[in-house]
Amino acid sequence: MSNKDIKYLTSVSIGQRKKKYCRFKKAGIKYIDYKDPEFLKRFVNEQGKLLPRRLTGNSLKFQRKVSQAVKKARQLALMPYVTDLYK
Amino acid sequence: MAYSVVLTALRRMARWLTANCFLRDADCYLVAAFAYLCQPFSKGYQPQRMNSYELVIIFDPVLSDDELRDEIKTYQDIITSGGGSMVHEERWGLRPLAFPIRRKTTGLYYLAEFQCPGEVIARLETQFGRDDRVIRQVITRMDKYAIEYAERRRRRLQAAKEAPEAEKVEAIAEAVSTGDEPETLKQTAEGNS
Repeated sequence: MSNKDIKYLTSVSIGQRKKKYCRFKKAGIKYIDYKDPEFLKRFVNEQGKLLPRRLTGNSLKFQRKVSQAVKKARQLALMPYVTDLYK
Repeated sequence: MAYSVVLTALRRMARWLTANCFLRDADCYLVAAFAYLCQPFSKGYQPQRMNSYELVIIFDPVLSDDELRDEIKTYQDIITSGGGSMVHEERWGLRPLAFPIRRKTTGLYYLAEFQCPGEVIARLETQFGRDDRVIRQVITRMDKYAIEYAERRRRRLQAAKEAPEAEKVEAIAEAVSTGDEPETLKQTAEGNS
């Protein structure tokens, strides 16, 4: 019996997780701008806290750069240190 | 450091030589000239190194245009008098702060990119300490990627300025808010979330 004939009740793709990747590496971005809060918002949760690497998929190198950028943006009051319902 | 030690030793030697008349004065000058020419080869020698810096200042929102210009002028003077040069500057105007600082909810933002030797930064910082019209400031040293990025950003802003009147405001606002961000990233980011 070939593979084609097997009937699955649920879709095969369920349970197979998509591989995470570092978006900066993929897009070839070398520098993360701290003056751009709109972009940095993506790496922060609703309370304005930094998202962990396991959720964003960033490589360590770029996670470090993101966190530095977010912290600088906070110093400049471009992003909040703490809030509710940010985004 | 080592270089200055060598130089003082050479100077002392030259003086000693003149005093003891071993050599004529001209020869001492020759020694000094030799020492001068050897500068770049001595171990600790460093020509004055220029770093690139980026500076963002938030000024008190009550400042008038003239006062703001004077304020900016004082900082530019510090940089240029210390042997630095301005590369680029930008006034973002009045912007809301994400949180109140000194009971102020808005601030006048000013961005400058400049090159100067490292000692100037300390002088800038003392001035910031004295100045109570400055609410907050951040100075960052730019690495090569930052410089590259800043150039691209400037070019985009320039292009936005030259664009037709109708798109102008929109384009500048977009360029300032989104910063540098290739289309591909936008797409992947949306796919990811």
